[in-house]
Amino acid sequence: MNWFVTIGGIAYNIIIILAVYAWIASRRRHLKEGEEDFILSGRSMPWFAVAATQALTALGGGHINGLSAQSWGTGMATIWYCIGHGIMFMIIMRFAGVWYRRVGAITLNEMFGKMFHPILVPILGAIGATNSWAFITIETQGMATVISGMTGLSNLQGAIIGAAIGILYVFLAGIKEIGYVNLINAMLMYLFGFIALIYVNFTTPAGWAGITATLNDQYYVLLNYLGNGEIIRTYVIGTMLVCAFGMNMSQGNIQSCAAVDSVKVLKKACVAAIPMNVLFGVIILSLGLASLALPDTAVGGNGAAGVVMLTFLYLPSWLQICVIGVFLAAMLSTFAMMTLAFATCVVRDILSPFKKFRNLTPKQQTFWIRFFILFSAISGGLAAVTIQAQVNFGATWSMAWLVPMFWVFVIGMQWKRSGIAAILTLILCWILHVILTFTNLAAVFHLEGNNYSIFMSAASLILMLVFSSLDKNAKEGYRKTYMRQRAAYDARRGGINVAQ
Amino acid sequence: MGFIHTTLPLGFFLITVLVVIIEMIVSLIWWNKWMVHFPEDDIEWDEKDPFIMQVE
Repeated sequence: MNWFVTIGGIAYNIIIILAVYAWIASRRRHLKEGEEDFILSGRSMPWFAVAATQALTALGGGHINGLSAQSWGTGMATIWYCIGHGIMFMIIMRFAGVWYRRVGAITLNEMFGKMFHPILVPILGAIGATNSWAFITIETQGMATVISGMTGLSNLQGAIIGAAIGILYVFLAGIKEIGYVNLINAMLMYLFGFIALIYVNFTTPAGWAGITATLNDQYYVLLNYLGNGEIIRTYVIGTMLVCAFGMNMSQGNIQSCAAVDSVKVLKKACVAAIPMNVLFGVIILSLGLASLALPDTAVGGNGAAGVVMLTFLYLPSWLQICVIGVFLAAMLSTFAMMTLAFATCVVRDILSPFKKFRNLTPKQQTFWIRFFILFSAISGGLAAVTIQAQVNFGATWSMAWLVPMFWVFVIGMQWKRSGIAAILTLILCWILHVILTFTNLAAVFHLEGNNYSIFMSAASLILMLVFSSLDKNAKEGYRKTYMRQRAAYDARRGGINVAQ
Repeated sequence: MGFIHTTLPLGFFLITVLVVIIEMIVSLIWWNKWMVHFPEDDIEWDEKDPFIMQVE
């Protein structure tokens, strides 16, 4: 047990959150910024805050606990999960996110509703909210594990503490708070992560040379950047596909794109987000593999526990606080963004047809967003300690549900828009996904394991192309529709006035 | 090269940096060569009269 380090790690995060809020509050008083800020930061998020938000939203418990645990099974090849995120950032900030910003959409469900059919708004809103909620639960589990593991508190108590700080991360100032706290955390993550790697070399019995020698002797394949044939087939391909093509359809991952003041902001943000997210995988996987090689951390039984033990056995107290603080920060950032995404989907996409939630003022919208942030945090936190295994399975399983949305979006944007084709494609792909789950169909194609995303990609691409070509009433690609409406808007305003 | 066997953490880091640089280059090529650009992409959000696509 280590209360000192736990309190230190928690304080690390609370101090950053409150300091950023104080700065934001003082700026707001000075600049008289409005309530719209909460979910879109007044559409003024700078590129570095967008980059940090993109990088850290995608970097949570899945990286901290998931990658360190996975490192014992797939070794360095686990990095392809992170590399897949790099591709996701390209898709979001070079394509999908650009279009959300251009058309003025706030949620991707709203985008699909405009492109194809309004019925998709609540359907995809429900999927988006569920997906976000599952990640809230996973992040809460991660925080509960870290806090309870280090203090002897119960899992529930650890979850409550973690969720409370996570709520603070977003409740005070919404996406603006998230953006700037993420920026500070991104810098500190790398600083303390690299310092930890250096310390491990000097505090472990034989340093990194000894760790590498042990892994070479006993776990050779774990030091292969591509693993082996089995790892490529059952992990690398499916993981890359789901991260690249599924995660870009998660509201939590695109909301910051809607918050920029112009498309050009996304250019710099993308280039920065890629290294900011992907390189952290090297740090956490190196620590995970080191914990496997060292006898006194290998007894932890899994990489996640091993990394925590390594932190306490081989790093000085001040660095333990910083590393645990960084781990919590990674989970908190995802927790915060996912609660905001959940609330945004619920208020704007699911409840907006109801009279009470139509035409909300910015102040009313902020109230309801905050309400559903609390709702999702509390319910997600409870689920984190009561139905952990089910949610974990469901969250991973449901990531492939987002993959068909990407291909439907691509075809609708670039070629033809057919509401019926979109609806049929999505429904049939989701049915296929259920069939894959409950039968041995994947094994027939030698694609068992983490490979439903391959089926989802192939099925959605083929079905959407076929159904769109069969629909005689299919409309022009959304790009053309945008150009037409934009031209009319510019003509009404007397031409384009490009900011210098 | 096989499955690219390397050392920890330096070799791992250097290969990943290379992969990241490739991704960054691809993303810039995507921006400059494949992406459609419009003059309004440089215009800041107009709170009073924003452009928001209408349903057709």
